[in-house]
Amino acid sequence: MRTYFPFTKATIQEILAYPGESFLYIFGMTIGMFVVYYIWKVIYTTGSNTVLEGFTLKEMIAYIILSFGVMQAINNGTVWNIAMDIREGTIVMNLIKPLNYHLKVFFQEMGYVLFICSIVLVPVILGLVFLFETGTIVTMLLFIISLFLGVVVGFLFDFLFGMLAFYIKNLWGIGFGKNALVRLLSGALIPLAFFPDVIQKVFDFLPFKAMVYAPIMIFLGKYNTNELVGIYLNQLFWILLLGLFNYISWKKAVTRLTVQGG
Amino acid sequence: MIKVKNVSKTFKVYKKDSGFKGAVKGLFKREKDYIEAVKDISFEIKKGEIIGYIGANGAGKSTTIKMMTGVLTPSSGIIEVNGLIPHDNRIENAKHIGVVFGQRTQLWWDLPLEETFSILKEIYNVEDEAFKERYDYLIELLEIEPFIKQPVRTLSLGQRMRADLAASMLHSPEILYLDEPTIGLDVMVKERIRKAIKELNEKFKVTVILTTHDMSDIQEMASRIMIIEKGEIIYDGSKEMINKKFGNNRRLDLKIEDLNEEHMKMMQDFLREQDQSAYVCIEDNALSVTFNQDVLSVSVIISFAMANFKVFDFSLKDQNIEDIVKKLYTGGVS
Repeated sequence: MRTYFPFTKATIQEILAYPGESFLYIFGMTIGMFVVYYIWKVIYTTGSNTVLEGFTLKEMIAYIILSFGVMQAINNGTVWNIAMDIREGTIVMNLIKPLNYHLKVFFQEMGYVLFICSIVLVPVILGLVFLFETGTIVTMLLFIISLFLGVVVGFLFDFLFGMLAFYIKNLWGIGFGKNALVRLLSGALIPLAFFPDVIQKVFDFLPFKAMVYAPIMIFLGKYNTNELVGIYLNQLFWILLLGLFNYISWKKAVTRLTVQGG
Repeated sequence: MIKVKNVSKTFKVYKKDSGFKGAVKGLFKREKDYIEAVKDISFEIKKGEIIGYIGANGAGKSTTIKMMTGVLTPSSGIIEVNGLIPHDNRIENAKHIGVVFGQRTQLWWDLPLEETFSILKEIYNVEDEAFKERYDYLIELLEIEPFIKQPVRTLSLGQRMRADLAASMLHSPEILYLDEPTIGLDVMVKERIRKAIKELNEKFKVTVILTTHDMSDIQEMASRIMIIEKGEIIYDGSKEMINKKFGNNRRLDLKIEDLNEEHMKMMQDFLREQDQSAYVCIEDNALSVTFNQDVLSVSVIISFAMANFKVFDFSLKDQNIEDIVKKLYTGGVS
């Protein structure tokens, strides 16, 4: 671990080297969040129901804010970093070091995740727990565990996706397509509870739910103990399965590596 | 220390036709093409040697180095470095090697240089004391102190290259792979880097494998030269032997009034009958003739030149490595 921790630290330092960029980004994100907030507010105030699919307006607001934060942590640039490493051949610089490339990238991304957590997620969940009482200290802690597992699932999925750069040299377009899809299927756009039951069944067999929807629902205290254990197991299952896929495809990809640019 | 036996590497590339039509066509049907970057090469390298590994662009130098470092897997053949198979034990092998790719950097672009060094210390798990000693030594050797607190992106190429060399040596590797370490550098920086490499080699018995296009790098540093051409090693031996192997050649430079292609052609026609390996070109306003003196004597050429051209000066040189390589690259040696 000591070997890889410096990558986390270096990423944070790199983010801090360009502070303006990060803050502008978060500013833009906040605006997007307000747009979504007003849409939901209209929905809640025009209809006769004060509870939609089990969400009160207050919970919905908490969901929106959290989903933006969690999505930010999940969507941490792993795909672009890997794709760039492969496309520009900088992957060589990693392979000549006594490093496991997966762990290196993971710890690197953890720097970004920690950054997002400390300036967005932690203040948000503290505010939600103590000011708006949409979660409790217990669900907050359970959320953090689930968030971490969700980030790992997201990382493994993105890594797998990024490795497509070995076959498709330009991932730009389908990368955006993937992002949009993940946003929809993970519950970052709207809570998965709003989908028809049949489709929700399908979501149980996809890894995306484990990334955003599940951790937030844990925070909002929507699961009983059995369901909670089920969610954790589901997240662990996806980590194992995606980890296995990663292992196999990496083994294959590395032997057919061509280094771009000499 | 390093054994390479019958190693070949073939790359698969997809051909694409040019233009929009070609791009569309490429979506449906892609033609495969195989490039043999390295063909059946074998050599051994002993501890403490400095190998000058030369060849034209695309001859297969970098591919060989990438295979030795374990980044690429050979299509066939065996590579053994310190008893390890690099591509099977990439991580273990990486602990004992240092690599500098002149065209890329291993430094953290946005962080101060010293930050990169301390990250590398953690990556290679270097003991504090050993690290301190190495660090101080390298900083002094490569004169890095003045810019150690600057972010890497603000460094000049020369500074960056020195820093990259230091970074590759921090964990006391036994083998140092240098892929064009002097590319794009000015004479002063080149000199400093050469001096440093030689010192590292003498002091720590580091084995150095160096690729370069700068023949003075080779003249000054290498103890042994390997030349690769179109994926095949066409020469492997000492600097001195190279002259023998490629003929006992000399070079005659003739300064001629109103020098033009016509002169060159006449000389070529004349030499064709005498010495098949002779090579004529125009360089620095002189007609330069490289010939094998076992076959042809200087006086023959000079008397021909005197009789046919207005020669006002000439000089005679023993051929240096640069000339041999130049001939090799243009396909002059059979």
